[in-house]
Amino acid sequence: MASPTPDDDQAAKLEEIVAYLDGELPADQITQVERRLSTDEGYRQQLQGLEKAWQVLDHLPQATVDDKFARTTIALVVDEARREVADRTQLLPVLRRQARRKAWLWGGAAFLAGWTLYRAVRPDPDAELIANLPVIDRIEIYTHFGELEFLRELRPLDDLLQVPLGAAAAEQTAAAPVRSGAASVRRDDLLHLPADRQAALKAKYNRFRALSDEEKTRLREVHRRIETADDAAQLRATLGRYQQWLASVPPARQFELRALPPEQRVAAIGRWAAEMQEEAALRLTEEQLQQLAKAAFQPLLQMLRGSAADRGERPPAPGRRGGEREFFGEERTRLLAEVLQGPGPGRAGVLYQRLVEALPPETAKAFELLPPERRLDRLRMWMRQATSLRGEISLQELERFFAEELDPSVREELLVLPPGDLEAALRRLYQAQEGDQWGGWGRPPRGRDRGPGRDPFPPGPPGEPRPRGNGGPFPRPLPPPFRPGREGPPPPPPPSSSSPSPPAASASPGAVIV
Amino acid sequence: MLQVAQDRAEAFEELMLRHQSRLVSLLSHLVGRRDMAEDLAQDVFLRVYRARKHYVPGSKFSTWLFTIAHNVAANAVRSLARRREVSLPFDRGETPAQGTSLEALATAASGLMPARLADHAELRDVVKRAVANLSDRQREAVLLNKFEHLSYEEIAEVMGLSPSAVKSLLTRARANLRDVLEPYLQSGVRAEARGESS
Repeated sequence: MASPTPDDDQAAKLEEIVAYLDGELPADQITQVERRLSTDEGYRQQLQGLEKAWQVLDHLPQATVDDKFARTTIALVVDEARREVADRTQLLPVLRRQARRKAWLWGGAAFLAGWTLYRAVRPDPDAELIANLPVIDRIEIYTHFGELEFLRELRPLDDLLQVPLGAAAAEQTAAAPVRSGAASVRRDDLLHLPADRQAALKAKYNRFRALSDEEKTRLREVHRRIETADDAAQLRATLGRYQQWLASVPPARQFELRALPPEQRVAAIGRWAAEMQEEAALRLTEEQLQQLAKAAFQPLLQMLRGSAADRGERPPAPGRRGGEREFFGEERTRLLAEVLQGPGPGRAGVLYQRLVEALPPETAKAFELLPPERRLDRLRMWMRQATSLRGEISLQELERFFAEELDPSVREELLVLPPGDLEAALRRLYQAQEGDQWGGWGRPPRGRDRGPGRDPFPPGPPGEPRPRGNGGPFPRPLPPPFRPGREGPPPPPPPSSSSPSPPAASASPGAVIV
Repeated sequence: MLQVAQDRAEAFEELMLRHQSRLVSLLSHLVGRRDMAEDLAQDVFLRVYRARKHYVPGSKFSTWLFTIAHNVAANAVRSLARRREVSLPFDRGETPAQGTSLEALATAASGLMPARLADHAELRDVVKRAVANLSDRQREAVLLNKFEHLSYEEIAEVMGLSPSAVKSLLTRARANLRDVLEPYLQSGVRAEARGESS
């Protein structure tokens, strides 16, 4: 680096003096300059020379302008202003258009920005629903258990938990569950759900919101553990089957199931599922019942009547149902027991064969697997159902059934129903009850274990709604209304042989046998 | 100026009256011709009027005005140079002079008469020549500093230079002025002008 030359020093000194004179020197350097001025004569003379020359500049002539200059300049400016006004006037429509366009653009941009901001900051009303959608969709089933071990124990029951297709509730729950994807996927799924599914989901959501925070957390945890389990796919499959099965179970039984201790629950589910499957297999449609009555019940009645004729006896006149039942008595019981022994060369065996052949193959198979005493029960039920199809259960018979055969607790439950519902429920009970119309033969003891919480109002045929109170409306209310109970007349005394027989009983073989 | 921006005519008139003489004087020294300086000053005021809506409140008006004047003067000087009409102001008869340069004046013997020191007319003439012999940039910096009292930073803003460049410019200008004026002031001898020394 080259050292500063004397010329450089001189130039720096000069700059320092000039800056000092112009008041542009920093405060610290001012002190240095003043100290040097007091000691350095040459420095001081240099400053004085510069200052003197600067002061002489005051003698530099300064221009002055007259009024003419001002007037001319003002005139120029006025001309300019006029030109501006003219230009603006000419451009006014364009400017207004531009201003309007600009205002619209700004307004639109402001609206968009505001809307975007609003969407960004406002709380999403569906956020909780979207976030918990898989849990909400399965809220009913998740409230049934807490440990995944429960599902694993249910896995051997998978076959039993298969619900017959066509059941309305099962169809609803069989709908594909919502996906556990991203929020956008879930929202998309929600928007494309059918209306009834959306309504069901809304009800579940309301139920979820009513839960305590602890319960919500527990349900989320159950879901998380299922989704992260090694056997997640199997667990989900079992869960789906269990959910479908549970939907086909009456609410009262669902409630009792939930109340059972976990260690008993799986056993109860297995037992009930087996019963339900058997019931489903043995359920007959109206047409099948009519076919059965024609193929089996009519020959059975003829056999009874033929046997009586062989003995020289004559049964009471057709239409006196109770009387004919009592008349056949032991003979009827014996013949049925003989028939139910199975196929054989005798007439009972042939009748059994006709009975089985009149049943649908699946039903026949299930029927033949039943133990003999249960076969008798089932046969009685079919007979009653066949009789009921023809409207041949008289009101007197229903009154007798209500007064004599029902448990007091069931009677209490029935009495709280509206009259129309009561009659329909009573008719169903009559059909479903394994009764003693057959002289007590094969009748199971009252109060036998039929599963906890056995619904006193069993479901009707597939697709038929349940009675109101415990189900939906009845398809065929019978006039006049039957009014037992506190507000109606007291139940009539048990029918005796002198009481009038129900009309048109003889026309149906099932009615005579029953 | 804020009132001018709001199209108040009387405000513009007052602004103009306040600055017109200083502006014409500055431009006269920059372009060297009085008539041209007045035309340029009017142009400057017109530009101020046209640009009134762009004036930034808070900024110093004089700095803004002299910036416009600097640009206008620079354009004018360039135009004159292209037409080769640039010449010392003394050529146009404003001030009768001896020849076209200061050399003749500097070497004149008239300075030997001490009585002439008191002659203000001669002093003005000497000062005028000394200023005229500065370079354009030195002259402008000196005029803005001496007569418009602008700081180095403001001069730098007007002329588009850095403050340190303005400092150097003013230092050289002062040195030149001293070299020309000191001999005359001390002994009445007109020193030889050195012209643009930067």
